[in-house]
Amino acid sequence: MKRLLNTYLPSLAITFTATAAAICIVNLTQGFSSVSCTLLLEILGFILLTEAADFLLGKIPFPNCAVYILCEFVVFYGLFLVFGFFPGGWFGAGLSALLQSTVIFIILFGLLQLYFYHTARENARKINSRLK
Amino acid sequence: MKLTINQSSDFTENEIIINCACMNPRLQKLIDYIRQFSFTLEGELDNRLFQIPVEQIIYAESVEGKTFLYDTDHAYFCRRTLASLEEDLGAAPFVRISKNCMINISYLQSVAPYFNHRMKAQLKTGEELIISRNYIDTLKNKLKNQEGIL
Repeated sequence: MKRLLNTYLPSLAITFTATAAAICIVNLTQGFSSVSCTLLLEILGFILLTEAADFLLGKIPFPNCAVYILCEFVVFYGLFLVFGFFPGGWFGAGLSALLQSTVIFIILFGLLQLYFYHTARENARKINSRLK
Repeated sequence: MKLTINQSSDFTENEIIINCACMNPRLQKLIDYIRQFSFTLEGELDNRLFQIPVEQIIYAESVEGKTFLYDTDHAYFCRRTLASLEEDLGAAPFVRISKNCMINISYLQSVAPYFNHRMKAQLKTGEELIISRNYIDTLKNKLKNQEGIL
């Protein structure tokens, strides 16, 4: 419960708000003045499922970092494809849309890994400085 | 703080006397730290019971529902749960680092980032333990509270 309140709920709120804001900005720049309620709920569903996947992956004793990252990538990318390309998905059909969204996904996934690595390194530095 | 040590073969028991005008949180932490030296935990090894001084315990771990206390050479079976040990060792430099492990931070040498938002703890004995993501803040707070004592 503590983890749900301290980690998952704040990250859900932040991610959902940031994504909704980004969609609004993109839509406004392209001349659309409204955002679909269905789209917002789909995004909420996607974030909820990725958090659930993250929680479940945390329970698995992976042998090393590479296997963990690979597994996380496969699960998240699978969810991304389901939401992005199933009928009524976020992206248009075709190989070009698939390639473009995959590249964006890889960049975002890489940036997230870097962010978490730097946060962890900073945490470790603070703890080690207290241990000295 | 003035520190006086009187060493003599006349003394039959080690004794620490603190003279102070008033108690403050820092002094209280020091007293709590000293008190752990008179505190022991009961552990079993080869069907024999041992009273293990708390400061000699490097970490306590729960494996398949059984609790074990580890010093530099032995793993003692302890009949208590980690939760009850955690309650009693609140003032001692022990901290929970995962659902099934608590360590004596006096033996903690360093930590390093580890995958899945966790950390790897390197102990002075050379052993390595994993710190769960949920307990990283607990460790940080404990170290902050123990600052100046360890």
